[in-house]
This record gives sequence, structure tokens and C-alpha cells, in this order.
Amino acid sequence: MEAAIKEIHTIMNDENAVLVYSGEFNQDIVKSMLNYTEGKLESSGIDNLVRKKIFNVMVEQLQNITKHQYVDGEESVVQPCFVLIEHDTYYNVVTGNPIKIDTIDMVTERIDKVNSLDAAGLKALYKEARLNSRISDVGGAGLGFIDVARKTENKLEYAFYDINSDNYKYFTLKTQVNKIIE
Amino acid sequence: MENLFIAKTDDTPEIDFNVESKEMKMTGRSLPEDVTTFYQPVLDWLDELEETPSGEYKCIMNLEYFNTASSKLILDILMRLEDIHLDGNTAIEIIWNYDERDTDMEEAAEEYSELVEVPFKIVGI
Repeated sequence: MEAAIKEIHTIMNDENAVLVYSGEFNQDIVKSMLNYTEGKLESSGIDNLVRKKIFNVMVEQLQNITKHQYVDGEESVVQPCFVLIEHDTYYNVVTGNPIKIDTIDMVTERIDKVNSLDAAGLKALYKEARLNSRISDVGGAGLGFIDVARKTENKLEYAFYDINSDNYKYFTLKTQVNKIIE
Repeated sequence: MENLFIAKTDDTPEIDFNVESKEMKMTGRSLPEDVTTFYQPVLDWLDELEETPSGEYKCIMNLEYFNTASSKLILDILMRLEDIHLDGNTAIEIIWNYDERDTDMEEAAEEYSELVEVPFKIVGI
């Protein structure tokens, strides 16, 4: 529990944070966050393509939380969060949300698979997964991790923190968008 | 058949399917919360087109961005167009316009073109 809160606190207080949010996520909040970030990045004079990649990655990570944030049967002790951090040569998009312990293996397996593949492997996986995917009850296609890895061309960093619950842990996902696109 | 027009919003594209000009245009961004509900009228319209021999139709995509859930629905739309084209009642041509610097979108268009047997032009603008 303490490790989770400390980690979130550290992430959210990063001095280079462009946008920090913690609380309930819904489509209107996601849209506001996207608008705000686009405006802010536009005025910073960043390359349009980098801005678009950040937008793309944010949409997938934010909608992931919107679709999976609800915690049944118990008070959610730790709220979902989002942080966009600017560094000299890249941006980090960080999201955190409670996750059901019995889905952790599946999520870990998916991310590890994505991290093990090169661009050609990711392309093939995306193609196959999209053909076979069905839109879930919460409206996802199960393609978010693959897409984020393809667009950023970087590995996904993740962790699961204990939050004193028998059913949930806190899942953090950190992705990196480079400022220079080759 | 009637025209189908859905105005653009912050998170959904403009849908402009016109029976006089025989053009099906999708323009803008697609990241709705519920892709299935948003795209249902489009798929219903295509079902009707499949039943209605109509000479030839152009599908013009001017999409700036779409999320992964929309990407699945766009594939469904393109596969529906392929069915219509292969039935032989209505010839379909797909024209996919993209910002020429946007290699992610170019790649997305190429991947779609590999999946459907319909004349498919990818145009960098």
C-alpha cells in the first residue's frame, strides 16, 4: 500500500509534468485532457507528428482507464491517475489504475509479448489481432498495447503495486514518445 | 436509398454518404466511447447498398486519427465494401487520403489495402 502511494506521489509531483490528473475518468474528462494537451503542445512549437503520437498514445491509455476503472464490491482506495511528463528528448505518458488480481497474468503476458517483438512482429500481431478481435462489452478492441508499442517504437514499462486489497492491485503503465521521429 | 449524414464532433468523424454523388466520405477523428453504436448506422446503410444495385460508388477516407476500437470498425466497413464490390451489383473504389508526412496513417492505409480486394488508392496530400 505505502509503496503504491509513494510511487504515485512521486510520479504526480514530477517537476516536468505537463498535465497531472487523478480522479474519475470518463469520455468528457478524456476529451478535456486531450484538448488541453494539444493546446499546450501546439503553443510549445513541437513537431505536429510528435504531437499526434502523444495524442494517439494518450487516447489509448486514457480510454483503457475509462473502460476498466470500476472496482466492484469495495471502496477504491487508490484513484486512477494520468501524468504527461516532458524530458529533454522524449515525453512519458504514465497511467495508473486499480486492476483485478486475476487479470494480472493476462495483462502481463500481453505486454511482455508486445515488448518482445520488433516493428515487423508488432505489425503482424496487430494485423492478426484486429482480424480476430471483437469489440468487448466496455467497447475495447484489445489492441491498445500493440498500437502504443508500434506508434512509440519504445518498450512499455509497467508495474503492479500492492494496495491492501484481496482482489485488486494498482497497475502503472509508462510509455515513451520520442521528440525526434526518425 | 437515402443519404446518410452525421455531423462531426470532437471525437467522431463526419459521415457523408450521398446517393446523388455516389460518394461515401468519412472525415476527421474517430475516438468515440462506444464505437459499435456510433458506426451501426454506417453498417446498416451499407447493408442497404448491398441490396441496391447502384453502378459505382467511391469511398473517400479523410481520416486524421482513429483509435484502436475505431480501427476494428473501419475494417468491418471496408470488408462490407469488399462484399458489395465482389457481389458485382455495385463497383466500389476506395480513396484513402492522408497527410503525406504522417507515416503512421500511410502504414494504416496500406495495411487495410492488403486486407480487402477492392480498388484502393492511397494518396498523400
